[in-house]
Amino acid sequence: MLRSRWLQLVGLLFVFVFAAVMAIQQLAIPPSSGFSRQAAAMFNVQLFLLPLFLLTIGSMNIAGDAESGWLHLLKTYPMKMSRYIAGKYMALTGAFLLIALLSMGAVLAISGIAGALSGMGVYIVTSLLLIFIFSALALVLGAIAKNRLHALALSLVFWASWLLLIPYALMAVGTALAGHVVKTLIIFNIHVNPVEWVRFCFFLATGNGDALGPAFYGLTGFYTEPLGVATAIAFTALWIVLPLSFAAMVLKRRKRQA
Amino acid sequence: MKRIVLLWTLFLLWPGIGYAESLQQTIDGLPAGSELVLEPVVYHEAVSITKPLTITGVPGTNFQVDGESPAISIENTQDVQIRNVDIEQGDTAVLIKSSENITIEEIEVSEAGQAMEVHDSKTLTFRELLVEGPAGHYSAKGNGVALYNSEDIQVSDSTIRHMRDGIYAEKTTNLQTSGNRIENSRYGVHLMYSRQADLSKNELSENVAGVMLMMTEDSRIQKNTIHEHTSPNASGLVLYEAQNIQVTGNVISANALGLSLQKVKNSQVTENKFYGNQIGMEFIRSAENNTRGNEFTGNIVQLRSDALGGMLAGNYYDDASLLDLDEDGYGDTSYTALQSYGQWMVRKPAYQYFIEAPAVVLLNEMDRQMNSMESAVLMDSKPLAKPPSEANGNPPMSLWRLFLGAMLLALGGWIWKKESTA
Repeated sequence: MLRSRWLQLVGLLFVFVFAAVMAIQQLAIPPSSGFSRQAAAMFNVQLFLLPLFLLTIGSMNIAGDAESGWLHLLKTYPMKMSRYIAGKYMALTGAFLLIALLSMGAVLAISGIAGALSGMGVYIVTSLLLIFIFSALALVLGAIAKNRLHALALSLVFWASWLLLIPYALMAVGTALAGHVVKTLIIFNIHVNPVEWVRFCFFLATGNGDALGPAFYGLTGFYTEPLGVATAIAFTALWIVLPLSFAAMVLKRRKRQA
Repeated sequence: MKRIVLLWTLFLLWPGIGYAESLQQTIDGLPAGSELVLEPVVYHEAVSITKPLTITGVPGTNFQVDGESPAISIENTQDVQIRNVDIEQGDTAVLIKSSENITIEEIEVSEAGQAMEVHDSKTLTFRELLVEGPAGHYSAKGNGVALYNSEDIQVSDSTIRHMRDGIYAEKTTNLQTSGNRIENSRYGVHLMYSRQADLSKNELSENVAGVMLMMTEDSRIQKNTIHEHTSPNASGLVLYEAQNIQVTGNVISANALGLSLQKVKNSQVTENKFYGNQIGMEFIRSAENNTRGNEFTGNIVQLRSDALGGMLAGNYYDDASLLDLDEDGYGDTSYTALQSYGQWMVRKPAYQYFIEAPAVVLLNEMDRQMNSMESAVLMDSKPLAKPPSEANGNPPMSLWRLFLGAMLLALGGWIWKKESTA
């Protein structure tokens, strides 16, 4: 996967954008504790770019195998589709972990010149969460897609929906609904939208649950207790295991139909 | 017989066993204006002072009084000074009623329900207090310094922690607080129905609100450092139904909400620094106040308001895209702080969940483009082109971070190259 020119370009782009945004924020904003604009900027670059790159590259990789006939050839071998999916998952996560490592190196080097940067630990945790969850989701989209163009379209639709359209829809609908209904819808969205789940985990991991406002005090309170932490870990594992299983199941069914 | 004489002698000499005058009796026996130096012992009795007196403790002088009686009460008198005493436990450490010209200094209060309580008194000085409240919820505690119907009060150079309110003043005139450090309490300074208060150079942190000022007028809040009020509903400063208030030269940083003006009239918010707050400042039914010369840097939402907006002039905003071609120090175009998300957050608190979410970041950018043409609700027609305070020089260079970053880049590049050519 690392030989892919596209992945190399994506890696370069991510490292450049991430390092540039962090450098600008570091130089412009005084260091601050808590949920600062610097922390938000760092996290938003991750939220915007990593899911986009993971979904498009991951899904098109599998769809490309199907389109080129490589997957049909593989199916002639005594290999389980779950192993194929596991291999793809490891390759995809490995490649993006390398990109995250390069980004961290670039930001650290810049912070050596431009001033201290807080939150590198959180950057690592959120990168891991995004890479592990969205790699799994990318493989599902790739397994469903008929060809690379279809995979690209599906990826963009889901990326835009999770990241932008659903929050906008919630905000728009919320203007006409009672506050407690809006709150319930938002809590539902946190649990069914992987972007929101990672974002919620970011607030929990940084100890900034209060930044979400008093309306969510109960929810953040639950997820910071031991039972809540265990629930969050189990829920995160589900976001990885379920898509991978579903992707393997889709490919297996196709293998039987072929 | 010898044994009896020896036992009797020991009985008389043994401190505390033989007859000793109580502290209250000693105080009662002193003429007005006397000075009493206390022993380095633990006093288990409550004392009442009703005449001019100076009481000085020494290291080890300690009051431990159980029950509801104040450890020290000063009533219907004047010219009393108490210094260098530790007070532990008890309902109220020091109670002052209907007195004048009282000085309380170098007093350490721990685990008391309420540290200082003052009623109907005048010309009081509290200096170098160290108050540490008991564990538990704010509602079960008293205040660090509680003032009722009093005037000409100074509270300075004191540290107050874990109380309900650090300093609480009700119907009090001319309260001056300076150099105090108040943290982990409900409100750092809480003023109700008061006038002519001056809060200067205090450090307020990690309270529910640093300053809560309600129905108060003709007061100044200046040069304070107010930071890290981040719990649910927390704010650096809340001004409610106040008028003629000057908020000047404060550093307000890393709070959930920096400054909230609610039904405030004829007030000035000038030359403050709002750094890294989740919400810098809000106006709720407080449109007619002067907000000038402030610096808004690194706040997630710089300003928000209800539909009435707020009066802005000559502030610096780090997210403003300004040109200053005529070099007059002000941007050539106006700055509009209106964000539709910020407006909705005022109306529906649940919307705060979306704070700085990717969708909101894009929405804010769209707002910025549109508002520059249309809205005047939160508009600064003369935004400062440069921050009033210059940056503190170049940031310190860190060679180890530079080296570590370069090593990570080299390692990543090497792995990539190795794997892609394998």
